[in-house]
Amino acid sequence: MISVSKLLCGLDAESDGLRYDAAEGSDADQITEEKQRRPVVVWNTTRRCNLSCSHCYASARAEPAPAELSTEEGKALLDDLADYGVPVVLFSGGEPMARSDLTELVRYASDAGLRPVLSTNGTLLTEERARELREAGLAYAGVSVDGMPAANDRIRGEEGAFDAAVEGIEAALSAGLKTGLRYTITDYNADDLEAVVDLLHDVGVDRFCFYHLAYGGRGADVADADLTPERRREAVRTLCELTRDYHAQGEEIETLLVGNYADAGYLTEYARRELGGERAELIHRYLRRNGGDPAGERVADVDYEGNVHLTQFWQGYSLGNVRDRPFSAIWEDESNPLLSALRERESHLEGNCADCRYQEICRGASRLRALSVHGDPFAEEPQCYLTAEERGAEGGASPAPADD
Amino acid sequence: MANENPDWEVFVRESPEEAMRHVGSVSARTGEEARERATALFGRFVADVWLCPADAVERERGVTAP
Repeated sequence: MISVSKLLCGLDAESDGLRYDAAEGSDADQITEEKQRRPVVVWNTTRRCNLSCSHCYASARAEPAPAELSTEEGKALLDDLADYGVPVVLFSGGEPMARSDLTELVRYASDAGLRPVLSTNGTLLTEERARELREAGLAYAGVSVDGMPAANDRIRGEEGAFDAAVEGIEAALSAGLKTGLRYTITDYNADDLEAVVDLLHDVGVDRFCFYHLAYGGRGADVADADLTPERRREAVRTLCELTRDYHAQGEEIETLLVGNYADAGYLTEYARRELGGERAELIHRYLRRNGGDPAGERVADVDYEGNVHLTQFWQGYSLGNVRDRPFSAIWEDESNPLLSALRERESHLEGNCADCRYQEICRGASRLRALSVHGDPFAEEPQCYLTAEERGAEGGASPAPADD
Repeated sequence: MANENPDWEVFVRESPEEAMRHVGSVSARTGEEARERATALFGRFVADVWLCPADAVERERGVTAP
């Protein structure tokens, strides 16, 4: 997750210990800190969902799966996550609000010292339920809206889904629950990006999270609706400009990008052109600490049947099941050669990713997309949109703006 | 797992001298597809990959209490 607003509008050397790191810190210290960091865990609590989105990575359906984790099994999982030092558990689905014990599980997570957050389609959010969840300790709700009404309802497979999601957002905000947008950018909705931010900002939303399409679950079936590299570059540039415009008007919205760490290289290049070399250097340093693509390291997933995945999007492969072995033991087991290689992927990356100058802050971006397109989890990222010059490819000149 | 396909348990070893060890599971429609998927994930690291349908594994948990 990369905070565009923080990098372009909010970052200064006094924050985040960057000045300290520059003066006193060492790379070794940072690496040690990195290794000790526990993952954010996404828990797909149920397969059941009242919508049928075309890009759903979890292949959700109207009915729950036959062997979903029970309330007691869920609590045992949450205990293990808390003992292991996991900072955040993201309740997801399916539609997590379709689980009748959601509030009980959120309260349990909060009491155990985890920070519970929610990913929802928003259509079942009423003010009463939002208040109940907030009082149980829920810290944040991310609501999926994928475009203006026509695009959103087409993607979500139900007319009226947009209006229902916006009503859900309004209800959550009224209940005092911090609420933000989740938006997956595809060909269907790239042109709606600014209009959705404007509309939801008027509603009271100030956090906007944009996802690149993951090629997992039904997302892999709609990969042909993914953006071209040129269009992706334009969409990210639009988000950068929009963020800066809002901040220039005193509206401190938070904008984030998820799912393609080529964004890290692009933002550095963008800052170099628009904000100057010193700012670009500060951003690059921050992104080094951020650590690049988090699969198998800083994010993990447990699905509704207890299978542990490298990210929430990578549901086709499981490292093991929490019914057989605690999550912490599965996650620590680097005798698994794929898990181990992902954690030292720099020595395995191939193609354009092998010698990219931004490898340290990108780390090959989505290994799932590489697997899906090239049949190899260490092949080059098929959705990298940096130019050869920006990547520092052999024969390339110094970075040259392609979109000025 | 979270998709429409059955799961296949995956076992690998780096050389014929070693015992096979469990490295998780893949989901796939057929054994052939499961083998392809497991090989894409582990082929660069191991000598042998074995698979079996996950629902063919009889699990007896906690036979000896710790």
